[in-house]
Amino acid sequence: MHEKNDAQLIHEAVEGGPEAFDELVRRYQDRVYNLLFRLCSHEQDAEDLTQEVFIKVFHSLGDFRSQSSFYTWLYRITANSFYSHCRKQRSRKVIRTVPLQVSVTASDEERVSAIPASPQPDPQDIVQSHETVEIIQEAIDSLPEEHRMVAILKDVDGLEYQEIAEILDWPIGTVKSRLHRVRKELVEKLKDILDLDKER
Amino acid sequence: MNCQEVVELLSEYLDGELNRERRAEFDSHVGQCSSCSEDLAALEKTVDHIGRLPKRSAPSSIAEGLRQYVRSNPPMPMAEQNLFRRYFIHVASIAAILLLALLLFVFKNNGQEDPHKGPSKIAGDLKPGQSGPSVADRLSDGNLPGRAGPTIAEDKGGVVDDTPLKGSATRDEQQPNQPMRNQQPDQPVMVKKDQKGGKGQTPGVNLADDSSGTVRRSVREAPAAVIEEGGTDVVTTGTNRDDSSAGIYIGPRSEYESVTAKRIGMTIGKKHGLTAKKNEGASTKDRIVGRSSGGVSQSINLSVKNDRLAVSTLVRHLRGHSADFTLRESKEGIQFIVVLPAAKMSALMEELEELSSNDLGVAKDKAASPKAPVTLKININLPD
Repeated sequence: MHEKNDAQLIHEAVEGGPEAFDELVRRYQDRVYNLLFRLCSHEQDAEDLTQEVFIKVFHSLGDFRSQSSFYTWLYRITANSFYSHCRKQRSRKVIRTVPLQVSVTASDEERVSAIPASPQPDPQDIVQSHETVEIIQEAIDSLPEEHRMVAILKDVDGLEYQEIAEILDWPIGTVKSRLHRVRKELVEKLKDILDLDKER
Repeated sequence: MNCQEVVELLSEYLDGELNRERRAEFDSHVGQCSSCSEDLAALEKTVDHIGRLPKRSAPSSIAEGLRQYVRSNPPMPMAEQNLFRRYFIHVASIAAILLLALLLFVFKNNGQEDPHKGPSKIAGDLKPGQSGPSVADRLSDGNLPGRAGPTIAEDKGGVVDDTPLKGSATRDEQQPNQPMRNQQPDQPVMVKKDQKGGKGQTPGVNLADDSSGTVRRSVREAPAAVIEEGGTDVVTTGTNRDDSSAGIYIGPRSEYESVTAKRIGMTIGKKHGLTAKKNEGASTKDRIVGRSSGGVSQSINLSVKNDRLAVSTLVRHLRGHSADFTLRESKEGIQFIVVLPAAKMSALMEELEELSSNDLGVAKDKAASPKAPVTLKININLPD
């Protein structure tokens, strides 16, 4: 069956078709959630914010103009929700608790299950992979919000400069220069992990 | 291309943003320069690591929650939305016009207060017909000997509240010991002097027209400004001849200050050539007191606690001696400036001494308690 494009789904959703909106959610929820998870580094916050983003989208669909792509518009709403969340957190001085035991996430499970059952997976590899992910995430978390945003949009989500410029409403030159600076910062922060790789 | 340029272009090179020519130059340099080559490798590895972060799938609860939300909050169809928007614009326009009209109405009526509605808590407690001579009368009568001492009327420098508030007057229209018309017990009241300071304009207040800096006449037909018991907790007054807002205010001090502090500060500032600032009033206080207590005048200071009964009693005693008094507001409280012929002053002072012993909250030479920030300071001028 022919799959409807975003514009058709938006039109139907605006006219009151809940299934069309469900489909939009199904299409984009993983990208939005993943972006927010990497930005917030907190599962529950990412989940709440994802729902909040889609509720905003639902109420603003009528205002969407197809001059930009739907996902650019969606990401703009996501970015604004994230900044607003950060402001609220700063004003509440939220102290985040970190679980002592690292939980095994769905993606980790997938990775573990991808390893052949026999011979036995090397536990050291699993631990090392886990540590690498954590170190990279910590390095990202330590960046200022705007730097975090540009790094994730580019290097996690793989967006083009032009798309990032539209989402963040920055000139393209600003995107380039900030990304360059952020990456340099990340190279410094991840020196240890890079050296570790060299030794292997 | 040198190392500096290469380092600046590392990120763009990695993202494939360089054109063919620049890319060739870049490759050529990196092929020969080990330092730049290492930098490029480090950046590539970092970006690669970040790109390989595991992708997270949204929990199913998100879609489920949204599905329920969407069905319980169906969007308004576009046609209705447009209709609503149009309707909203009309309603908002009408509301804005009405608001503007209301503001104009309020603005227009501000300052045209009905004198019979205002001073609900101000009532005279003098007997009908009782009155005393005003400063102006006694000046003309020669009761105040000579002009050596700085009278209230002459003490222009730095005085903002220097329109005499006459305590000697008869009741006008009102019955003795009856509340004023339309009295509303808990409403602060600002009794305003009208522009021309005409006769009978403001029941409860006697005002002298003092546009030239000397008291020329006073209005004595209006009832005396004696404060009744009960009601609000602070009694304060402000007179300001410059902007025709002279009058008595009875109500919470904070409200009075918010209304008048800026105006008073500006007026005092203007008189002293100071910048018009809210706090200038306080800064000029010392000069005002110093002038009235030095040289040809004598003064006693009595701190009167912020108590209606005490204030009322004090005012009654002043009136009993036909004493004209002016009220000035300072940072510490209200200052009563009393002008009396020397012969009458000793009797008044004796009575005031009695007041302190009668436990009415009047204490001689006692500083105001910090817990009672509003006090009345009596400063009695003795001409001659």
